[in-house]
Amino acid sequence: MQLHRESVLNPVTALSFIVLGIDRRRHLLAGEDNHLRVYDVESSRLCGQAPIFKSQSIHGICVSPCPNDRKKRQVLIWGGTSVSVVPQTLIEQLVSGDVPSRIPGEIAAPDRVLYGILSPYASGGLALLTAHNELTCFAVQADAFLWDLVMGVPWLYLGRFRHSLCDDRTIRIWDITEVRGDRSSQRIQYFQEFSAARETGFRDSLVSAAGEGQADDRCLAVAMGHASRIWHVEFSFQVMPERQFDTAALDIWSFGEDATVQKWDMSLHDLQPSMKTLESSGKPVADPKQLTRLSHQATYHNHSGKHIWSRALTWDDAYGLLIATGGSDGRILLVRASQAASRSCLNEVPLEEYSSLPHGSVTSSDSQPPTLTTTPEGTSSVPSGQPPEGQKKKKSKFRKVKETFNHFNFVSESSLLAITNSGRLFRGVFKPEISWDEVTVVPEVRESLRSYTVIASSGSTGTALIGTSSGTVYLYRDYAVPVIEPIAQVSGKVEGLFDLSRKTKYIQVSSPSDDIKPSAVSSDLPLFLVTAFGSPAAILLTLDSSMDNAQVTKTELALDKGFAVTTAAICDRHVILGSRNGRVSVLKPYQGGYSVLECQYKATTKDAITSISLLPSSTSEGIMDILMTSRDGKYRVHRISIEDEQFQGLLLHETSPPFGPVIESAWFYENTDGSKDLMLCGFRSKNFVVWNETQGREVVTADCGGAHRMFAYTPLSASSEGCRFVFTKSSQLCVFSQLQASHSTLKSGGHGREIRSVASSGPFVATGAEDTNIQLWRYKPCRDLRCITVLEKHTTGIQTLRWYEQSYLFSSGGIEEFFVWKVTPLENDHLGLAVVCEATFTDKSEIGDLRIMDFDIQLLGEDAGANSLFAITMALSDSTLQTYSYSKDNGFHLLARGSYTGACFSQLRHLSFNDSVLEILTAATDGHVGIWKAPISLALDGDDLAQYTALTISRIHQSTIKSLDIRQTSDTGCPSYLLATGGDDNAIAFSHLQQDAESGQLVFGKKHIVRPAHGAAITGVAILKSSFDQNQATVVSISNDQRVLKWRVVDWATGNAKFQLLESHHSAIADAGDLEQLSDDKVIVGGVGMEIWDPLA
Amino acid sequence: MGKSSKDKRDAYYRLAKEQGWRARSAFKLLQLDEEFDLFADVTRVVDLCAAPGSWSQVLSRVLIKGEKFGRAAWQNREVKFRKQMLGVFGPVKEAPEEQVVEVDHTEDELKPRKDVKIVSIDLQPISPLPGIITLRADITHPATVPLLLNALDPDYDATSKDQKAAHPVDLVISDGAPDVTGLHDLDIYVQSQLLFAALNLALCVLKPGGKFVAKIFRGKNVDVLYAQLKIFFEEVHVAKPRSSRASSVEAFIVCLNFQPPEGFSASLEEPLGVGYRLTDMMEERKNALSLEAPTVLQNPETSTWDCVPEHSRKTDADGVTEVEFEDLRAPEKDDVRWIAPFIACGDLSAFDSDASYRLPPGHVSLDPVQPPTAPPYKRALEMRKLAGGAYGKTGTKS
Repeated sequence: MQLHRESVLNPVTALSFIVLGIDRRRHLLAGEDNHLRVYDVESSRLCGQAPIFKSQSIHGICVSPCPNDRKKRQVLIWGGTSVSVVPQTLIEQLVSGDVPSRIPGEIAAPDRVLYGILSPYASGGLALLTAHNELTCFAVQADAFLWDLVMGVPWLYLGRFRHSLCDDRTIRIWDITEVRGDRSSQRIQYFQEFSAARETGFRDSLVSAAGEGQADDRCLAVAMGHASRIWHVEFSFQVMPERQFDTAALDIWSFGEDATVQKWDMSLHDLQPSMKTLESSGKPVADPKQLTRLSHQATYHNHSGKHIWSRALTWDDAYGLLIATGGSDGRILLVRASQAASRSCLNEVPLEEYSSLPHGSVTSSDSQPPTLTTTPEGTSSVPSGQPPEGQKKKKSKFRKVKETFNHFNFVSESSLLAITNSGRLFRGVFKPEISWDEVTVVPEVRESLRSYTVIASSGSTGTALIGTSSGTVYLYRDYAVPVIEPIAQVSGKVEGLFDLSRKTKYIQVSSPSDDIKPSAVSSDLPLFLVTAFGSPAAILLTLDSSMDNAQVTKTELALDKGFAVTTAAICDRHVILGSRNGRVSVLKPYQGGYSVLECQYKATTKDAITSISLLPSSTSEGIMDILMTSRDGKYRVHRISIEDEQFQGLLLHETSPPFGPVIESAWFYENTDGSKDLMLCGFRSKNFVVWNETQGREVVTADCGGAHRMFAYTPLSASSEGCRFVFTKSSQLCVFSQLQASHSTLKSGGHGREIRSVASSGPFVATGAEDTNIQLWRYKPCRDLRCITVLEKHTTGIQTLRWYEQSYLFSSGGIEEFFVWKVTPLENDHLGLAVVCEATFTDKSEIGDLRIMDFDIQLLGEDAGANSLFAITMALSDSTLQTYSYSKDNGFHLLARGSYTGACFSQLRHLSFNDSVLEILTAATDGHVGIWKAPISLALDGDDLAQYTALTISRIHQSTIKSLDIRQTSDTGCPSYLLATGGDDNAIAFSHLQQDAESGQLVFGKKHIVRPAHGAAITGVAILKSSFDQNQATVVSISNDQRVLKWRVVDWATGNAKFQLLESHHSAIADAGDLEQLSDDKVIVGGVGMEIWDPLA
Repeated sequence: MGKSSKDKRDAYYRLAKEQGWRARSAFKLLQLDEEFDLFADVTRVVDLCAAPGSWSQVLSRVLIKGEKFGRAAWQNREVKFRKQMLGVFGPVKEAPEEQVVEVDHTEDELKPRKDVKIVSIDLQPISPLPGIITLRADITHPATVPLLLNALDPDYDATSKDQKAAHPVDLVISDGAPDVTGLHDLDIYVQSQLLFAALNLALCVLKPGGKFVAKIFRGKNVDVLYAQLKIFFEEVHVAKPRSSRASSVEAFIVCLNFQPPEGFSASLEEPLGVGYRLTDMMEERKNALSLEAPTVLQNPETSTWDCVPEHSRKTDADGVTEVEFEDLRAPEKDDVRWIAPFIACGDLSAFDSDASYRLPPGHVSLDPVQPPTAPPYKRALEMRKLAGGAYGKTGTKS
């Protein structure tokens, strides 16, 4: 029955690359709390871990530089004042799964270690730089150079060092090469001044007199770019092989509190020529300061919240420069710098598959066709060659129009079809570099393709449809020699062409998916919807292009008036259309055609619906879950249910991903392990973005200038990060393609700031943090928590979260923010959980700036519409209580109010709801617990407001009650409770609450307090469900002192109560905010990170 | 947050402005004094990390001017009224409380003390205060000791390198805190180093029997810190004034009756908190203590000596019974830990620093008495302004 830590997710405070084993595989060593974890860089797999220190987190890792004998290589690890030297063989044992040899004990350094290195010369020699800027060598044969430094470095104050470098948010480059004057005499003088009586504050006299003036001269360049403090700066040349020096040797990488990594380029101008000219002209020599520039190159912002605490750089022959970062969100990211590099560096990338083309701009020079010129009336004067630059300009003066692309789209993931405004057709084939050839078409076809076309493709069969202004629809087949033929005619200019089988198009290439049930109509045949200007009907085209002559079946669909189709999909034989104004239309097959069903619900957006995909689910006939993306920056899941001639829609899920406001499309990517990632794409400011919603990270960022342009994209089946994106920019066609993102996640993380509330229900865990986000996780015993979704709606830190079963989640924060989230577990694994904010609390106080410190909910029954009806009681920071009724249709109605002494409430629980009387329990900053009751009248039109009356107010703690758990001992007879409270006063109290036989009211029985129980405020306490009975309870508590304690409480209701401290363990979670029991009696601690403990292991 | 919303969110912020304090932390010292009577018979005080000077201001007004501050300064009258209405807090002795209020209200004649000497030190400049010597110095720096000794005793010869005060002081206080980074481990370390720096100076200048008050962060290993302080002082308490927010890890260590261990001599050349000196002292002390056999009683039934004496259980006026727990933890080698008794100070009628208050109608939000003199981020703000605003954009221009 030992308390045992099952998993932990907390800030990554140390990182270092290491090459392990005979096969010299690259691994990453990470310090996470007191454990050293080993990750395989290639596969992102956690290979092994071991505790290095007893309770100290790891702050730094240094791998010994001696490259030759791997058996002798060692790894220096430090954290706080603890130091350990671990042989590399031990780490290899961890990776191979062998039983590791004994982990070396920790050594105590005299002070906190800031940095340490192992000597490359002497085995076992190491040098430590401590927080007071003392350099200590723990070596038998430390080299003289280091000892010299020890003598030379004065005793400087850590704080001042940091202030001068980081707090002003600048990066400064210093020249430290020159040697000034007579050092020994200067040193003696310095020490004399150093210890004399004098003022030593900021910018103190000594430094400003002796060093400052000159020191400023030595600063070569200054740059600002981070929004807050900078924690680390690295030169990339430190890890690069010499042969690479010419390309990116002077890159500087900075890592900051703002959770960004920034790349800087330092240009050192060649001093020689300028100096010579200046010298000859007799003028003073140029100041190198004015010739050095730091210019900003790139910003990587992929950690959530704040802080990048750790980083590591290495050079890999295959990948180039690799940078790993560890954040306070517990995430480890890998940046492949060469991949992210600018155009000039692209040619040097050694591997073909990484040679992405961020801006492979297709200009006339690398393929003949795209920029051609033609006359406005353009009677097909096709210039055979490409006119030179100057000529082009000249022609434009003669009011000649440049030949540009009218429309383009992908036919398959490696084939692009483009049509110019002169009616010419070009095919671009990616192998993987794009190469162009022209598709020959007869003049009549060319004439009809001129000036206007739309292209839709069905990638699975390599076919595309081209719609024209005359209403003719052509079929294009992507053969070695492409074929184009007219297949249909609609009345009027073709407005839209939609591929209804598009959703599975690219996934099917790699793995046949059971995602979409083959529709009876299409039966795997390409299916397109054609709409035409001015036509009230749309036409459904089914193609059978298996034979040389394509067979086309035309079905006409009547549309509602004014319904402008923006997207279409076919789900379970029904055609679903999305419109420009957010409306959805469902058509059901009817007598060989389709009939429009009557829509019975209000559209959830007024913006255009950009895509519709079907979520697989095993729900019954006539019910389907569809995912829609929209131009309002949100994606939604609707449950559509069809009854006779009507359909109903229920909004299940609504989220704004961190880009937008334009979301173009959504699709699912099937990973190798069978799991599926929801991918979304759209625009954020000037970038085209592909976002992996399941993993919560941006995989493609392509600077294209913004959403207002023509573009086409295709995901690549080979990788979830793969994408080809074609767009026009300044009348040029540009191609972006990547197979792998420039950054990848080695380990996924959680909240970027302190977790304040944790709530669990069944397999789901909700966490709310200071970063104002709510994260929902799926918990599987003995596995790490997996984040399902992030809810971003609060604008203040979360105070409390509560579930009602697995169907409702309630959340509260500052400025009286309170949201009701409707939760629907989905049967498929792609999304896991659909969440929609059903209501926002609006009945705020006059100023609306109070914090809803805590609240509790109680199911009262059902309202008229069969929705759940809840009573919600909130405890506010101005010492008032308020109870509301809530249901989906009727919203919030105030039922009762109460007011306390002025002390801020900290906890609130509903105790019971009997005979229309609600009984609640509160705790406050004054250390008192109160029991209140109020009559609850559910008559919604009742004007009179009930008042809470305090039944009893009883002091338990000296100051704030920070945590509380209550458990009822018996259901039968008179209720009796055990109340466990943890206070800011380091004490934990166990109180007995029971019904008074005479009055029938709850009164306090014995109140026992253990003080001190912890070294600091007790922020979480839980009475374990399983081992609880009338006489005995097991309680787990967590405190700011980072210890988890397990208690046994016996006979708490009597005068012979016994309190036993069973266990005490170090917890990785600093600033713990909450402790919650999971469904299986395990407890989860949330704070700076989170960890799961098994109290009964 | 604007001035006005801060007034509502933070009652003490508003009170500080209304009562002319440079910072709300003045109330923390006043509430600590109320609990521990810190200023009794005190004339010589050193205030460390004093900027912007609110604690020095308290010293100046209490010791030099002879003003008296009591509960009336921070009591919320409405709260008292509502408490009585609710019938809450029965056993609280109302009578003496009223008395104190009475005393405070009779603004009787000022009683300035004689021979008061107050020295305030900070890295940042402190605006002058009547009767207080302000020094700008780094308290971790050896050069600060002669500077301080000179300020306390003008006769002190700085060349003598003597690190002991000829006329020691009665009280050393420190409200210093670092700019926190967010890495709790580091913040706790830096705060503990500030505490050690204050302690090292205090050990040089404090008279036996003197008092030491300093800010601590109640985080990981704070119990090790308590145990270390206990070597030098007879009584060590950890106190949380009501004016310090419950949501903050801040608390104050109140050390009474300075009793330097035999043979101990303080020196900033060999400071505590760095190196092994303090750990060795702890080890020695632990070994000395463990020589005492634990008390056991004879079991009346089996006649074996295995009974631990039952601690008498005390039940206080609120019906809370204080109990000791049976420690069944597996013994393991660990640092010496000890948890100082916690005391919440400022009575429960005081304003609650966590609560929101409605401002009286027509409330005018006052300007802070003393805006920050030289915050470290000032330069960043200036540079940003110079470059034309917004980060990121300015970065690329350079």
